[in-house]
Amino acid sequence: MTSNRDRITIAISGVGGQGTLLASQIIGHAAIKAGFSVRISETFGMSQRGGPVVSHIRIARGDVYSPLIPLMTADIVVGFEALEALRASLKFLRYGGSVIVNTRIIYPVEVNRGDARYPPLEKILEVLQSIAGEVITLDATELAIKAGNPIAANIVMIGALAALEKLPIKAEDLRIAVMERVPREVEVNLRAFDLGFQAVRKRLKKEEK
Amino acid sequence: MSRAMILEEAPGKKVLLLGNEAFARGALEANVQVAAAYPGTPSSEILETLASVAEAAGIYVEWSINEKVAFEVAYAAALTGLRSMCSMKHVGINVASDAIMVANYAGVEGGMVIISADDPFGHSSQNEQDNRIFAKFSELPCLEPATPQEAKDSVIVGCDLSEKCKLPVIIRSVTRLSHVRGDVELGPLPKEKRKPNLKRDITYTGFPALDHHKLLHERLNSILDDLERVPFNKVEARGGEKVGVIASGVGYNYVKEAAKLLNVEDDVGILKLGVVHPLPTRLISSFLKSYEIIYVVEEGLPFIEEQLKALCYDLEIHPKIFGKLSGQLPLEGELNPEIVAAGLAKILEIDYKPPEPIILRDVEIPRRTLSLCAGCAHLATFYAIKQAIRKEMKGDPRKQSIICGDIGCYGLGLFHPYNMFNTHICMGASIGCANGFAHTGIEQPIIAYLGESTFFHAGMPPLLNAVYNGANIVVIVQDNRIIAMTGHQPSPSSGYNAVGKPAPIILVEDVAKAFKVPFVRVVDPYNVDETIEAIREAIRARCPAVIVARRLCAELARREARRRGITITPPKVDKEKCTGCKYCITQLLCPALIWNESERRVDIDSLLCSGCKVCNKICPQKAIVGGSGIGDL
Repeated sequence: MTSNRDRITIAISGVGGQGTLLASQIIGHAAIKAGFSVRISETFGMSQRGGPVVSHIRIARGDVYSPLIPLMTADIVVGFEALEALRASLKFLRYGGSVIVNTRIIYPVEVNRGDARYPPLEKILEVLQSIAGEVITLDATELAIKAGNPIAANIVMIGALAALEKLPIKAEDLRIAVMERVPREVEVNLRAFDLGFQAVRKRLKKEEK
Repeated sequence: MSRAMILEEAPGKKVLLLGNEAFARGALEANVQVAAAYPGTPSSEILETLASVAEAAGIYVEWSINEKVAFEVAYAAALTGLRSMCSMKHVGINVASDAIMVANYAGVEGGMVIISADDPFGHSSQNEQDNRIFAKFSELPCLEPATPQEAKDSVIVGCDLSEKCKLPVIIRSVTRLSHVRGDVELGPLPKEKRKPNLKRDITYTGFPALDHHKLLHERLNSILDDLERVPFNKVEARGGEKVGVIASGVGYNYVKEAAKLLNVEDDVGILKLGVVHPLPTRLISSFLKSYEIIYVVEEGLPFIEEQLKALCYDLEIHPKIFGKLSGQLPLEGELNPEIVAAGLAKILEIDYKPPEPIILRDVEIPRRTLSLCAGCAHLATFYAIKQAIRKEMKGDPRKQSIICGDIGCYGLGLFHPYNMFNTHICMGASIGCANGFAHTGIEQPIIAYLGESTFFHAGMPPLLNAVYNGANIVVIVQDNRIIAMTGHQPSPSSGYNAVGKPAPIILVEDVAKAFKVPFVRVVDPYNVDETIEAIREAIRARCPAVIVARRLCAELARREARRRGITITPPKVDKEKCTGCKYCITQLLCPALIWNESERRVDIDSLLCSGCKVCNKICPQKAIVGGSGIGDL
């Protein structure tokens, strides 16, 4: 099932502090082991938490040049937060690409103060549906809590990405990369990976029927 | 990054490294034995990575108190024949420049590299300064690697060149190199360490200046041939292209991408420059002569572009030169594939419009400005400052005071929704500017706000100046025991050093007392009332005053709480008592305080909340109760 494409671009978007960086490192590590060239870069504000973060991941057989994703060319957007999934998709997702969304919401300070409104989740998903080839939702934070630590939501999302089978890397190799790159709480992380993987497999199987 | 990877003895193996980690690996491969730095984004991970393996690698690594000291530490090591490195962000070079501008005359014995991590766009900086200009200014050789692989190799090449010409070599990185991860092929690690040997018959000095300036030029000229042959310079041309592109550093990557985006890969010849000072003029001259149209792509100022025009005058050729000066590329900000492609398309006269992000008509996407962490002591101290001024001066803190900000996480205080600061210049300038405001006759309280690491870096001289010259200012030093902004490097108040060894804890209040500051007070910002009172007293004292607000960085505190078995339970919001006045949200601005629109009351985000319980203390209705967490430390 694994796609044999030799070039793939992924944008991981979220809120500073959610672990987008670690997630992209794990994917990059697995890709290099599989013999690919890799460029990963993060765009963020200052160095602090709380702002929107997009991790640009470009994997290819042969050379990769720009560390930044050219606009509207990402094959997959992995959104660690719903609004950020939308923000990144509008800018980076190619038409017909895939989006995976963690439905757990983190409100911007602007919204909490009443200076802005957070769009309804259904509306966000509706817009995503209209531009993406497929949109997969899961509550990664809930699954991470089930795995033993809410922090592991980023690993849940990697599991979910693996289950999509769009990467030229085997799911098992991504799972091993999780072990190799995050030596702490290995069991929690593997559980998190598996829960994310299963959640998406189940969803996709249902659709196949 | 796995620390083991940096020390791996596996030549030929490919690993995923951050640009900064690659610089660190390069230092090990180059046999650098002394490395010093002051943290600053985007440079911090270079020394951080080296520090994590210093003991195993048998090298000396330190976080110095500031960049000038870091340079001097590394410089002295290079005088003994060892190889050394100092790394810093672009503005750090300004701090170190006093020493660099004479060390260039005095020269080195062992190879020395200075890494300047520039920040085009100012992602995490107050300016966009292009330190290739500093290389020209200090007349030192400057390399500009383009990829993590070249980052690693540039340290080796830089040390070799440095040893050959006996000058420190500057390596210019940018955010999009320092903070990019990519595949890097490891090289061999050296087997033997060097022994220090200071040639005691030589005095390393700039005097007599004229002679030493001549020596600098001789040394620089002695490696011109070598600079032409540095492997990071590369010509990619098959002949018959319409445009010759001259690109340096990261710009090269965008050129390759742009040519692909426009499908004009056969129409452009590329000269990739890895040496940017002095420019390899022979290589450039022959390239310039081959094209009637030249497109210069560089990150930062039109540094190469201007020199090319001068070179063309000497060569008596007149190619059309496009780039930043001609408006094909912007003079500000960071390059990206679209910007470089748009410039190239214009030159080739082909239609290209970068794809536009989708604009939604029926959904408004709220901004998400950066915020300080939930439970961050700066939030509590900001609140206390505003309350103290409100109470003391009876009015809007913004109008009733001058607050001078400084460099650190708390720099966010500049922006909405905090709006704390009137000035925000550079390290230590909070106290420096406050000194100046104090002598203008302004009546309102003048407050300087900074973190402990910034205080030690550049805040001590202006504090002493305030005492000596009698500036009536209140200096508030938020001591969170760590350099939080750049990723938790230790500061003099942490109690340990770069390599994790115990170090004496140096307290700001002890320094202040030694400086004979007449009013010194230490407070816990989580004790909100006490902090407000202390600031009010300091304002009333009408003398140089220092308040040390001490609380561990919330991120570290969360870890500490976990270690001590303190569970983080957010306080509860009493539904009956909460009137929905939003005082906590608008005044404290903690990101864990969220607004429940349907119930029109405040909720607390259980995952974000750190349990500092400052909101419990400030709620006018006493509607926020209980909870546990970092407030219990």
